[in-house]
Amino acid sequence: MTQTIVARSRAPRKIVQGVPMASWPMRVFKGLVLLVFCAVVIIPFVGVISTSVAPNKQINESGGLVLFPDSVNFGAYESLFAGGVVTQALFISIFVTVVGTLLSLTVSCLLAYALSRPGFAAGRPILLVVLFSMLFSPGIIPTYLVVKGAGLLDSIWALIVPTMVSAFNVIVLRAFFMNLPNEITESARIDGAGELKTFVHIVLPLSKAVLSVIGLFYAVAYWNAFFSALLYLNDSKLWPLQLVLRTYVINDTQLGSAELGTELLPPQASIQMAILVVSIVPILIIYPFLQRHFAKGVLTGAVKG
Amino acid sequence: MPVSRRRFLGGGLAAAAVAVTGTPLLAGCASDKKGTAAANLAVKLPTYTRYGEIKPDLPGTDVVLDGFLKYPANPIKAISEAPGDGKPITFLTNIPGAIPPSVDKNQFWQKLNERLGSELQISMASNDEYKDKFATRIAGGDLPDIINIPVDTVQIPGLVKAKCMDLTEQLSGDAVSKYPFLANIPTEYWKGCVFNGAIYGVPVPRGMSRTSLPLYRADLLAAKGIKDPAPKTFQEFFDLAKELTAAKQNKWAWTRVPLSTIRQMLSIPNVWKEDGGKFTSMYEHEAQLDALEAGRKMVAAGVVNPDAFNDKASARKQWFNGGIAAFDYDSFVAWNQYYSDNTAGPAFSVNMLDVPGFDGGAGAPWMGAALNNVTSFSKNSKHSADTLLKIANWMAAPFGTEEYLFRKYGIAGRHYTLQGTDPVPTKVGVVETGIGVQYISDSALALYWAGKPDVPQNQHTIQTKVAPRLTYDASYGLYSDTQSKKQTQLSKTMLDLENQIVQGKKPVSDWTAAVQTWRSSGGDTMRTELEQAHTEAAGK
Repeated sequence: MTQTIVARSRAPRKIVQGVPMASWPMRVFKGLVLLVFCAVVIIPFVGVISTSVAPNKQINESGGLVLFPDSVNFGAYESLFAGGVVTQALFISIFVTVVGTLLSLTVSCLLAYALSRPGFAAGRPILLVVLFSMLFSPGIIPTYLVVKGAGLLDSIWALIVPTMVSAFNVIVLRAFFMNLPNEITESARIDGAGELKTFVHIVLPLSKAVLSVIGLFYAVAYWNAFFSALLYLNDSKLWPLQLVLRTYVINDTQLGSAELGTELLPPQASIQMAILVVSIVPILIIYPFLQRHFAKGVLTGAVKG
Repeated sequence: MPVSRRRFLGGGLAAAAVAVTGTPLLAGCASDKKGTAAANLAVKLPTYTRYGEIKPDLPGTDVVLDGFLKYPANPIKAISEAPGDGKPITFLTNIPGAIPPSVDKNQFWQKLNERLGSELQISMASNDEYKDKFATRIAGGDLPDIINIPVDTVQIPGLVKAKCMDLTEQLSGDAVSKYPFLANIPTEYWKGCVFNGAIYGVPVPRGMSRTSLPLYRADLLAAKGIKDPAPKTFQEFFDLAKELTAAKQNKWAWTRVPLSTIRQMLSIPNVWKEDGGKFTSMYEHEAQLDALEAGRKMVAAGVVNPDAFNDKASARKQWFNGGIAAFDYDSFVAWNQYYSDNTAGPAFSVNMLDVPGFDGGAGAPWMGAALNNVTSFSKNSKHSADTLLKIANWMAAPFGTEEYLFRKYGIAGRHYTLQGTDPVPTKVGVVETGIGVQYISDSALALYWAGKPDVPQNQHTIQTKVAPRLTYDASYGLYSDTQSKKQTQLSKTMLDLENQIVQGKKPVSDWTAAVQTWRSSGGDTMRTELEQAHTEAAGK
């Protein structure tokens, strides 16, 4: 809503949503600052996309990064997806991300809701166990042994089960559930709903914001995870996208240590940039749908009201 | 100091393995260190029997590699029976390239299994991540039949003693003749496979192919009217670099500071030097300050690409390929890779400089590291040592054999096309053959580039020229526990300082104090251990 007021001794200033607008030089200055910030973010991104479609010769001659390609070719994307390795890894990653996020949300919500209920006898000791895991991580080798002992080696579930519950996310969820007005759950109870019914029909619908954010946290974590696959999966057929793509990027450092003649070359910059695009696009697609929940959800637990 | 994942894995491996497996995994070397060097020397190494069926166009020596101008027209089928025992064999390795298609989609892998007579199940990791995977699987007591052990693995003697087969009986002396292609690996390479007075593995030899010298773009120099650049002193070397630098046109002479070349000009040792039983590290050499001063001079003169300190190896490759830089310090392996990745067209031409003395005369180039890795066999393997050695023998069939052609290039038509008798890899071939089997074992590499006979010719010429002057790392074949644990970290500290000095961020004089710190942090202990090992070995 916009309205105009008349100041006593100065030209009238516009007020937008209760905040007086700055003078035009200040607005131009702010615009320029914003423009610079946008450029700082956008130009590298454009560089990544341009280099991924630029011809190799131009990339070599420019020293690695191209902003304006002489010609556009999708050879890098073709060779990424040609062998079937990347495509297969993409499906693995999608499965791990979707199933993992659903399982993580389910388990985390159940745990957080139980911990948020007053009168839950074992609540405090369980909460302490959850908090303890935030302070001390178990380490790579003990975790490996647990995964091995559980028979999860060389199984796709090794990518989901060990990281299914994040203590941080449980704490955020618990804080959100605790802030829900007690009157709502009490009235549900008066109407005859049990704990599960209250949780499913009353609490969860009221928690869409926090569920979106925590879901995004879990999804991004599953999508980006590569190290557990490296350790737990010997069969490269089960490797997720990030680990497969990393072999293109990481082996880049090994020029001079490969063998004569037939070993692979360090990858071309175009392939590396195509990898960047492939690995970030899916998350970029999801992000706008969750953005409207983001500000509210992310503040959950940070401010007690 | 923060503890990174790698440091944790490196440092914590011993404790974790003992705790987890209940085996005093690495105790062997600690408790039994004294006398080990003598015991190692007492081991009769496999008798070297050169495989004489293949005649190279450019014959090598024990140091210089054999050169081939074209692939032999009728490759010899050297092994008639499949080496496997019909049961799956597991193998843990790094791979140098992108992840290849899995076996169900990889015709090379399928054909390999068929030819081996056993299914080869390979657990892979990229070069950079391999150590993490390797350490975790050892600590988890989860070892495959065939293990690629990097040469800088912490406390190898204890590891192999606890977990790997003793192969002395099968390989020592003339016993190796049962595996003719393992016998075709020169004796020098086997030294790196001897621990605790026994042979615990099969070498993956490199040596001369890893020797690094200044590579240059012969076509770019020729365009400037320089046909045969052969600087006689550092000053001429420096002047040549200045001549090839045109910073305003985005062109520099060097992809990185050629400090190793300058050190070789000043006859600084190759890692460790031994003289009368006394060991001296390259860091301690009196000419180090001169080398750093010279490196600093090159950076100050602007002949090195200004991004040299920030970018990775791939950037160097791009600068060299794209003509942004005319010189790169790298190996014979990289020489071939540059041809493979050429985007400059048919004029693209690479050659290598010899190293002159700093003030004239001849420099002292460094011999490349002898081994890529040691391949050991798990004690718990269900396969016999004989079966696994037959597999290694098959993998070591040399250039010119039909096995080599298949191993490196795959199946004709799908993985390579023939240009005359030369196999030219296809894109599919490059991807599908990159499954890491060259790290089970390998023959000494051959100088060869399909369709470009001038490449092996130039390589052979420079190898022949520098071979008599090569300096070797005196610590090769001697074990120092401290070196095994601390070398990586200590050399990184020195490298960081070196980079700061040549960039002018720290004075050259800081080097002397850093060497003192290096000595007190483990350098002196390494020296004592190496001297002791050398004395024991020499006294035998």
